[in-house]
Amino acid sequence: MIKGIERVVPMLEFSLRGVEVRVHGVRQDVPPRMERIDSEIVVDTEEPDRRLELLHDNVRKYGTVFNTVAPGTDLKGVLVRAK
Amino acid sequence: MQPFPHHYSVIAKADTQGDVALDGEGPPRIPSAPPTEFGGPGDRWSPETLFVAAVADCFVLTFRGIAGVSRFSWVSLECNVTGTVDRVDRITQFTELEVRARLRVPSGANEDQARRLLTKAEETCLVTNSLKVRPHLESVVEVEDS
Repeated sequence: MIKGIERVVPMLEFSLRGVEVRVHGVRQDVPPRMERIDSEIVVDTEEPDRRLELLHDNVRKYGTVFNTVAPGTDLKGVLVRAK
Repeated sequence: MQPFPHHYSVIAKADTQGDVALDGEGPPRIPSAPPTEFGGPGDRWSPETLFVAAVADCFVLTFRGIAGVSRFSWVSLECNVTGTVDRVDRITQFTELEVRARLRVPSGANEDQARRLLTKAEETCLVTNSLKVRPHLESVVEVEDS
């Protein structure tokens, strides 16, 4: 996700000081697979909220690994501003 | 083993330049960077190589577990995984996973059982079961000289 952010930030001319991504996965037993993957992207920036949403849209689009996760695995993610 | 479901958490942290720091709950920090294909330095683990590593690691550990339950005797297993990233319908994703497994077994071991266990490991691997792309397994079983 951070690689995706690094890739789209110049294209969007998005200004940020830092990023932190917290990922939490839940594993199920039968069949063995990841049941859910939750992510929270925390961005240190002064950009307006609509630009944060634009960044999140682009991160989802360019995430090679996330694009490869099976449809059965519930992917949930939020992008928030650092406090 | 702890009761299911299991939870796994990782935090990735980055400033505007330099490595991405990957922290889990216990293991040492992994410095990560983009792969050379995306302009990275090529001397760090990247999301792509970590992804492929997870497939290889999960396959080996799953085999170890299955072989243990089956009381199957083996010596070593080397798993070489190659992942292919491509753009399909304008979405960049892994489109192929080639898993080449080389299993060494002691003299007298049942080679058919060895192959069945390798296939079972591929079928029950947590990581590949969570992906769109199905791995292609090529396995070689080598029997040690008696």
